[in-house]
Amino acid sequence: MGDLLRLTQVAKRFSGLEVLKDISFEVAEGEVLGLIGPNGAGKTTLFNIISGILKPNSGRVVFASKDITGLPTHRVSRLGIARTFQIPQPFAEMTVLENVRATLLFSNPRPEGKLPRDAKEICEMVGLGGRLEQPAGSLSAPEKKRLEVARALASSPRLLLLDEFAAGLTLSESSWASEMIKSLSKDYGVTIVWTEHVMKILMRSVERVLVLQSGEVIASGTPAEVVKNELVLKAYFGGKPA
Amino acid sequence: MLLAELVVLGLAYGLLFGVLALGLTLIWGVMKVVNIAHGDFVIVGAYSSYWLFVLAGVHPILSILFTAPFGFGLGIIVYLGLVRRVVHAPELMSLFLTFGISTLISSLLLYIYSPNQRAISVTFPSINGLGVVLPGNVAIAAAYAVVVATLLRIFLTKTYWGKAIRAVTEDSSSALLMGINPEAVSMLAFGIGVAIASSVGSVVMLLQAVYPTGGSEFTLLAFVIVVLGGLGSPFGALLGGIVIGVVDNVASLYLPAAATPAIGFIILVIVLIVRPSGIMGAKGR
Amino acid sequence: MSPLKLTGFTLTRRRSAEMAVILVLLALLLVAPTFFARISVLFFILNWIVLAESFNMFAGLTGYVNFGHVVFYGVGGYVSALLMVNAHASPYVAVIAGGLASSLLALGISLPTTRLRGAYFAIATLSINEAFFVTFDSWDAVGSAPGLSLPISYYQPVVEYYVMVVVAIACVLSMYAISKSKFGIALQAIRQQEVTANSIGINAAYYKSLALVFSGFFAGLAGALAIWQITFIDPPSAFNVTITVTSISMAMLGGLGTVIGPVIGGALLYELTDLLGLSYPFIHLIILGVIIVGVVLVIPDGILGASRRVLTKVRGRR
Ligand SMILES: Nc1ncnc2c1ncn2[C@@H]1O[C@H](COP(=O)(O)OP(=O)(O)OP(=O)(O)O)[C@@H](O)[C@H]1O
Ligand SMILES: [Mg+2]
Repeated sequence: MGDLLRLTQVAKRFSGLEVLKDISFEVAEGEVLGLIGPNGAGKTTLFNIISGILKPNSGRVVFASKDITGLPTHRVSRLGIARTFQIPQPFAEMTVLENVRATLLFSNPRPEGKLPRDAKEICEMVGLGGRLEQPAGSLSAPEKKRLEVARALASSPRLLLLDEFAAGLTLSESSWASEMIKSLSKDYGVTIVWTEHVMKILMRSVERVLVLQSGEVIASGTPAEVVKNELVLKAYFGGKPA
Repeated sequence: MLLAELVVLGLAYGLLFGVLALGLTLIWGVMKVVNIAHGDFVIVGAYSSYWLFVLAGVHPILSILFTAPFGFGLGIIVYLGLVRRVVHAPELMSLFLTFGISTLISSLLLYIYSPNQRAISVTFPSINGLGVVLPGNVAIAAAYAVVVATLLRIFLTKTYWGKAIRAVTEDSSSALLMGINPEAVSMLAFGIGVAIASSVGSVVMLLQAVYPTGGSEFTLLAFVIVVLGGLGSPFGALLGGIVIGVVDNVASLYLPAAATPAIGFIILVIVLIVRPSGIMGAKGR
Repeated sequence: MSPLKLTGFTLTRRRSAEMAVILVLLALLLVAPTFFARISVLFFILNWIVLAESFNMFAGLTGYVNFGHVVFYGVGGYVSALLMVNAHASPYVAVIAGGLASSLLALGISLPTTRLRGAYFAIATLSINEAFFVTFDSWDAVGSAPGLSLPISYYQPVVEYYVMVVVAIACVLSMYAISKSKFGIALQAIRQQEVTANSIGINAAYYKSLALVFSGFFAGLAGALAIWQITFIDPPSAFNVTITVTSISMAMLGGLGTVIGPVIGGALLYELTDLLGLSYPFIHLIILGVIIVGVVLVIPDGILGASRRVLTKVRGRR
């Protein structure tokens, strides 16, 4: 299968501070790519650039053979890239169901997409079936994270960007998350890029990992390879094996 | 020579404008509230100085000793009674609230003192140097601005509370972790912001006539400067003030008098379009 | 500001009661000139309702404050006055042209400003007012400071009143239609979380522009109608910040973001300020200030929101 997403030499500065330096990588159609990196490594910034919230200072972002660099967010979304926010940002006054319905209303489903187009079904998929009529603002923190996924799925994405999705979840919740993400990729054919701080959660569900540090990709490979990488051990795990 | 004179004049006015904007940016930095009543506090200070002068013969410069602490107290009262309650509400609410406070102040002044303009005539001898003449009152205003900016700088860099204000401005969540009381810092910042506005009012009495609803012009001026310098940046505010002061005065040489009020607006729109985060960058540094 | 039910609207018993009240009010408005001598009072109540509702159409739905609302009113007034004075246009044409001119202006203002977030947008709109006042005050082609007077032949109070009724109904119905439509849902999403709205495929800048265009259109009609009634326009009356302050307080008092709130707020506040304004100059401004501050602190969702809250509490207790 070909590449669904390709970044070439993407760089981003915030008032002189280089947050991303020369980032290049590809994501194959159907792949689940993990992206790990410590606080401030630039993971969220990278997602913001892919989803059009920020424009890179240089470099290109190509999605499904289309150059989407600097395209406005709503158009990126309608091309089939959905994201969750690290800090959940639901429409707080709408109910869970309304959050998902609003997304369905503005999304642009692909004819070949397999994801459900029914709000209730999507909510049930992420385990929010019992919270349909609750205002999103009153959900618990883990429930808000589920709603982030529900909303992202409602826009029928080809590519799903998950920003620190499992961080702060309990053990059982995060193993639910791994299972769901695996199923999204296997059963629904969604390509996924998933960032986390820590390796452990990613290990079981991703095929390939990129390690981002201070805005640079310092290693890549299977989870098992990356964990053994000298550079990663030194730079990221502070010298000690994970 | 006229050009050089206008540049010097612009610099002097610009320093005063910059200090005016400092008050606004300090409040924004700490609590992310845009104080639309900022200019109305200038008018409150100006009226206080006017009456102190007319009734008790107190010199406007001397009356700063009253208007500054009075503004500080007023700011704290307004913060505790009103503003505090919208700091965590949607931004819309704090905009409406300070707009309401602005309406309230100007309409009270209008009701009590009538719409008439008030002016006092105190003149300082003008200053001559290098062939440039600077009116004495403007020089005094600039001197006031330099003193306030210096005091504020010392306060912000050397004292605990000053450092706390800076810490909250830069990153409120980690400031919280450092054990800084955000409520106290907000109260202090609001008090200082209003104290600056109201003492600028005393100085304004030396330069021009004032009237109850004139506050919006000062608010707008401060906004233009703050937007230019980047919301939340004290240094940006001073620099922005000087830029506006010089541009405004020099432009008056080439443009008809009627166009001058539009200059600030034009600068504002251009800056907002080209660089919404201000000339000092995203975080104003 | 209750969340929109995306399921669509159902005619409940409460709704039909509301409908009945509205129909009675409408009937009263239509027959008012036959028994009420001072229809100019009714005219101005409706004019203020349109101003408050059109402010609400943008601010209430998007969550952005337009502190330059009066500019739409002033430009609408000026365009219609110019058409009547210079081109002897039919007043109907002039009024519609006033509305269209303001919606065009709204589009122009929105292009650079809808990219601005929150406070920056508010600041930009605050400065627009001043710029328009200064321009019109020194522009000879539009009468500059002395202003313009309409020929006496245009004065037809009863006709003006009925046109005002039609415009007011159109304005409230538009607000209703917008808030129930896909457009309204987009605006709700933008108000609650703009970044998320963009990321689910909503073109926030476009929808905000459109909302401002609607707001400008109705405020422009209000300005044109007011000039038709007053027969005179000059910069201080056309670009009077007090008009923005009043529209804001009316919309907020009734309930920002609701359909009926500005109608209630407009009617109540007009009566109040009219009564007080007659006997004490400037005191109505103090009252407007108190109302804005008070509503923000005590009932941020306005009379309508607060009474709904009280009602549900009472019902819950039974
Ligand atoms: N809008 C901004 N303006 C200035 N600096 C920013 C901005 N956004 C992010 N940064 C800086 O860029 C760097 C990378 O931030 P980013 O949020 O992308 O990191 P991250 O890898 O997602 O970290 P975390 O694990 O904490 O989420 C940080 O140093 C951050 O302070
Ligand atoms: Mg992050």
